[in-house]
Amino acid sequence: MSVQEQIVSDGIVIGPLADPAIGTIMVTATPTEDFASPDVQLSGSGNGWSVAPPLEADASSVLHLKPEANQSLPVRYQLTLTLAQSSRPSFSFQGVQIYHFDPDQPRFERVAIFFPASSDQVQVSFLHNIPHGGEPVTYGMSIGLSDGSFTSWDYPTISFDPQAGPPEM
Amino acid sequence: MPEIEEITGSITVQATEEPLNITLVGSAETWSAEGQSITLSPGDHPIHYKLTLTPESSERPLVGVRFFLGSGEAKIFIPADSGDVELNLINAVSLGDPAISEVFSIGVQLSFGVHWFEPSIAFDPQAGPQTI
Repeated sequence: MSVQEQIVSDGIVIGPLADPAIGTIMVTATPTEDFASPDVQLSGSGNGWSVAPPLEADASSVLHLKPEANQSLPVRYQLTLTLAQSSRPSFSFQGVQIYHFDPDQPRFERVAIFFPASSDQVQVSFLHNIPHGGEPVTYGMSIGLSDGSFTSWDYPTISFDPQAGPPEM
Repeated sequence: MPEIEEITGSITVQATEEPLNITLVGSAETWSAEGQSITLSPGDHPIHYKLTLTPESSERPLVGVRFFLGSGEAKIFIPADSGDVELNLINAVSLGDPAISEVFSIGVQLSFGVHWFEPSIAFDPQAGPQTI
């Protein structure tokens, strides 16, 4: 779907919004001895985005959104998280929550936007409009997986990083 | 995460061009949409509010909703489906906590193009159940 966007600010009309960068993030869950905490791995990459694995054993993945140098802003990402076939039927996808990221309390979400899963898939869309040289923005994300009796939540983060974006003129 | 209670509802979006304005209408026991704000009450458990935004006029369909979550330049976008937008919000604010207010924008297709109105959502614990 192509969405025409007009942002009117001080009489300046910006737009239209480009077609989305479409991609798939694979979610692979493996049971562990702690039934409440399966091992969850995210993978995938595309034009202007990628998923980085956790740097430490107890850390979580990071979804990097970094516009290519030749991409005009804002960039719209339309990403579909899909539960890997190998993770079924042990787990089912419940949904994704997105919330403010607080480095002091990264797993404490009081207010979140929720994307319920449908057929073990969740589609999320982002708009990245941070100009080159701007400060990166980080959101928290939690991925809910159910083993039929209990829902566990894994906590990757989303980084909107402008460093790869087009330089300001 | 504790048990989540689900509450569904519908909000009518009244958009006008002259003057350029938006009014939200709808309410139930634990939430309300009035003027340019939505207020969501907490409960004993986290509440999953599933609210459908529906345009009053089919001639002014909704394009989508954008959430800022504290930053104006990094947004979460929820595209419309057949002119409606389904909002799914988790309110886990506890009674006594400070209220949290989020700004979001609703894109409405008007005769001159898409305009993004900016109402707000208050996750207000003061409106929640009283502690016994």
